Amino acid sequence: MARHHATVNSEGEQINVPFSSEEETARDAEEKTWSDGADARKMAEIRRDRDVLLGNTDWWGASDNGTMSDARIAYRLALRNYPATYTANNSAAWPTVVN
Amino acid sequence: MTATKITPGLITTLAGATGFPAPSGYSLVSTINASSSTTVDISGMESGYDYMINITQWKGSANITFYGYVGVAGPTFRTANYRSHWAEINYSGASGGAQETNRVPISYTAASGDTDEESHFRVELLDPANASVKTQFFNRGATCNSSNNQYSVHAQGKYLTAEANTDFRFYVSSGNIASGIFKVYRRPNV
Repeated sequence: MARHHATVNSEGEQINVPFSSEEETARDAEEKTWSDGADARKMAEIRRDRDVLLGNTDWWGASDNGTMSDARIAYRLALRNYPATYTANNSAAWPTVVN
Repeated sequence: MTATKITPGLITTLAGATGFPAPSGYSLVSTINASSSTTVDISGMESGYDYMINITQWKGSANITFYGYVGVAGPTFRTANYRSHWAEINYSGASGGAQETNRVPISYTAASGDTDEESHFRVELLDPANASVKTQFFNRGATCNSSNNQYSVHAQGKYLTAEANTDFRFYVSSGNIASGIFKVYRRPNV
């Protein structure tokens, strides 16, 4: 179905109002702007997910846990570096969590 | 005050000051069913009423965001001059948020239209058509991202110019609103 505005008329009946040519042009521009920002939005989402995973292991660094193991240090470093290794097709796997 | 009672317990007429409270419950104004709709538009909002829009069985498409605009009769929708904020808590308890100055935020996280990922929202507008006050709005709802992860969403804010916002437009960042039932209610702002 072509672009339209779903609304109701003065009788309360639903009607679908087709876009005018000016609205089509404006909408095309909006959609291009959104599309152009896709990579930035995806990266923001990845950083947020990464921050969650890092936060889940913050307790590893508590002083009463003793020295953090090399495996744990490596895991947290991999998480920090993950956004830089991410590729647009999402082929980079998340680091594997260690015990 | 005088009253006429025909049968026990039933008052059929009242005259004079009753002292009864003004009606305050929401009543249904209209229902719009979105179906591959680029926008869903509400018009004719009247001064003196709060409006509530319950949106159910909403679907978009992958990686889009859900917004709104207030508007004035014509309609002319406002695409700037907002002060608003949205926040979300995702499935693991992580939170995020952002300010919005050019629109009304509804759903922050990219919402998907996949099976079993229907979203629902409740948007409230406080006396939007009152020309002497700035329109204030808030929303709460639940949505999913394209990875089937559930999010709780919350948003609030205002349009920064006092004017009669008789119209409201729902739209998505790209593509169409695949489906959704938009029920518009109102109640006196008393």
